[in-house]
Amino acid sequence: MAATDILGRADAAHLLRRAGFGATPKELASFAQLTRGDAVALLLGTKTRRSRPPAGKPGAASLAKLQVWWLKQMQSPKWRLHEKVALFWHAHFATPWSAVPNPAQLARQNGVFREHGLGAFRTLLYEITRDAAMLEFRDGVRSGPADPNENFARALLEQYALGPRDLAGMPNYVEADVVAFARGLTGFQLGPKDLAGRVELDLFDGGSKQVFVGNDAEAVGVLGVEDGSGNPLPADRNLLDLLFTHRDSAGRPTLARFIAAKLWEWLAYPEPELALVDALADAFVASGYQTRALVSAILLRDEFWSAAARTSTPRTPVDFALASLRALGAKSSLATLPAALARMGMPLFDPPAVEGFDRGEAWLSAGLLQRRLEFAQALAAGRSSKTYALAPKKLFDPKSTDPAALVAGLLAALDVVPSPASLQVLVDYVAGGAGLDPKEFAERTLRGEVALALSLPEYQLH
Amino acid sequence: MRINRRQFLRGAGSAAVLASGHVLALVPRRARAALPVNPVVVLVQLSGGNDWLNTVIPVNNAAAQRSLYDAYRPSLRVAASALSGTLLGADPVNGTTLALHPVMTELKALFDAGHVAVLNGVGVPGAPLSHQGALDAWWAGDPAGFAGTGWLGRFTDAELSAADSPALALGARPAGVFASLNANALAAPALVDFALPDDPLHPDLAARAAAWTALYAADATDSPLLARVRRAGADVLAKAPLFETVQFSGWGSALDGASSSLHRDLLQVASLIRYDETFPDSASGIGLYHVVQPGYDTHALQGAADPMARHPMLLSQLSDALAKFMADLAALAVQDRVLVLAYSEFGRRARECGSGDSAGTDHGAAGTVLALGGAVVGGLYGALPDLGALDANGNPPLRVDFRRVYATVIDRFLGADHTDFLPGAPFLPLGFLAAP
Repeated sequence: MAATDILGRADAAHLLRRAGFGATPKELASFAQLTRGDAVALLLGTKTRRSRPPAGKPGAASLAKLQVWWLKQMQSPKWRLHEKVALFWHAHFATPWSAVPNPAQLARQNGVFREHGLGAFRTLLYEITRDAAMLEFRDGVRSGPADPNENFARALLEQYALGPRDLAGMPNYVEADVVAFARGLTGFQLGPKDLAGRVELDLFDGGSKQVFVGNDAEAVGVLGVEDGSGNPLPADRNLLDLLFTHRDSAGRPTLARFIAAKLWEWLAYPEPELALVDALADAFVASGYQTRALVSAILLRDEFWSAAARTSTPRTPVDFALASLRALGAKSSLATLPAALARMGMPLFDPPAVEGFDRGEAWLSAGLLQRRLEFAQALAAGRSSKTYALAPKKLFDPKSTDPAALVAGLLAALDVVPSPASLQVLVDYVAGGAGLDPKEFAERTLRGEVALALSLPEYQLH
Repeated sequence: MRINRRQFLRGAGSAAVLASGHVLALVPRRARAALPVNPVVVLVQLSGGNDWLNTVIPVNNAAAQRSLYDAYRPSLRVAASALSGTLLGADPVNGTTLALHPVMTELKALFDAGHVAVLNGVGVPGAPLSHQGALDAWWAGDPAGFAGTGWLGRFTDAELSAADSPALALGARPAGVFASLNANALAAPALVDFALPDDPLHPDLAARAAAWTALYAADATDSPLLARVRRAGADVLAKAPLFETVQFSGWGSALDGASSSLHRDLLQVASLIRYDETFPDSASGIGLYHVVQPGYDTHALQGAADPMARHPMLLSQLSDALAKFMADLAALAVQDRVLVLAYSEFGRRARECGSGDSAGTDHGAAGTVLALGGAVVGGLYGALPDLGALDANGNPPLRVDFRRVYATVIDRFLGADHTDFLPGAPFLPLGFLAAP
């Protein structure tokens, strides 16, 4: 299939699940008419989005406001892919409210993920390096020439830019590189209300440093990030630029491979093939490390549309919840959703580990699945938009009494295909409500059916 | 855990193979009268990398350890005069008097009662200093890292059937230490509220539960991922009634009074152990637990002796929660069959970074493992890493390969043979558990 072929409903649903947060039946019908290339171009757009959440006063209420604001952005049809990528960067640079309970700082960081999330990764990396929340979280503001703090330096190498090992399992750096980076990243200062820091030369380790000995990125000299006047150092002395010239044990660009593979896993499926990673990394490099180009390359790969990509990955709680709300047409103030997401293991703005949120099969523990059932139940039983307002009469054909037809309609809206045995269970459950009066049938059986459909094993994957 | 011990059919030849550096006299197995029936192992992970040097602290200057400690830690040092209430005794190797951090008074009382072994200088040879990389090695029981199974996961594979759910990790994430090929490890953020949901206005739980049971029944046509979902669903259905019963019959009502998140988790573990002890016919079958105390990644603002500062507060909560857990076990008279191991992915650098209140410590190597339980032979084992012999990265060399701790647990508590489960075996067991 080529980029000029018409998608059809199944491909449209796949694209909108992965490059967004699910779809309404109407959206599916409309995207189904587009070509692959046009659909991807439509989602990507050409504009840069600059909004950031309003920052309230310090306190738990502000965290809830940040969370609800972001969930509303994710529901926006126009910006869904932008928000999906912003969520990727949030998980990647995981800076938790628990460590930095500062709404203004976290709002700024979130805005960076939106403004630079699809732009130049080099810029994103710089903006995060001087980001106030990150400087607080990773102790950048407490790192001086006498005693450089390694927290951010280690995370930069291990988690943000290179990864501890390359695809052949060889280490990408040694402890001495962590120390040298820590020295080069000293001197960041933050005024009381500043949302981004800058390097002050009197607090910067101006001594000579050596990094990446034996690598293409090897450099020695007064390495750092800024010159003391808020300007970036030239590339040959700039630690952030050196990361882009690093080569792994196969002589390939380490950073491009690392980011390409991780973003592929976010949007497509785990453990991509080596040739695929390299093709994506090449596209990333060729674009000057524009994330928009990398995302476009990912979404236009045949592997993205392959059978292997479908139902290959557990839905994250955010995917699970927002896709359900959207597909079922449930109205919601979203006020209770952040807490439900936290219970399901995905508290927005407060990732539970330094590595971010869980990934892959970790979402499939019994404890977290039980909490998905809770959410499914709360949504199915939702009778007010303060929580979730779900209307069985709109969702199911009110004239139909045929259990199989009623179930088929629901499954089509959710775009889930259960096994024959599972389908029979769902049909039997509806048939079991046959003797009830119409109101009780709708309130008990049809709502119950929604809870069961959302707890289908097949629906936990996408 | 109901262990069906396998018959170990070992030829004489296999007993003589010794890796260099390990002295292990493999003798024919004797009667195991001393081994606990239905052993329970509770792993407590001090997540983030605990600063063990401010947990087990040199007090006097034998082997120059105290003056080195003072020199490395001008801001973070705990004064020797503050340590008189938590003395542990002399380090078995270098003779330095050691003490627990002064806030750990409950743990000190347990130590004095002979129920705590402090295993010093334990670490993963050549471990990476990344959190996950180091943790993977601890979980795998293999310095090379994680390759799909944990050391206790391999044990459950060998000893238990696929129908068993012998392990429970409390926390947001599954614990790789229990990852196994066959047996099933449960993971749940909490046992509280672990119930099947219903609609209060139009309840229909019986019909719904029957439908869920059918939906989550194993299906031979499933992909591995789909099979995982169904298994998790089956676990929810199987365990929800059990955990609800435990909650109402055990210490469920006391959970709100928990003094820390660790205490809350250990209360839930104790509740399950109590339930199993009281109702053996419907016992949970869980014998392996993993709980997490987060917050130990103290790159800055660590605090020295002030009980309200970050690191002392964590140690205080640890000491308090462990003591309360041990008291709960003693009240049930099950302390002899429960073993607690507290570990962390790595220790921290000997030299502090930063100064004053903002001082902290970067990732380091070598640390301590705390072992608690009625079967534990209390005391000091291993040795505090030599502060006078820091390597190029500023870390003291480790004294005890972490696999020796695991070998001791497998051989002397779980009643199996560690050479079946630990790469690089055999390892010389430590003395904190008596040889059976």
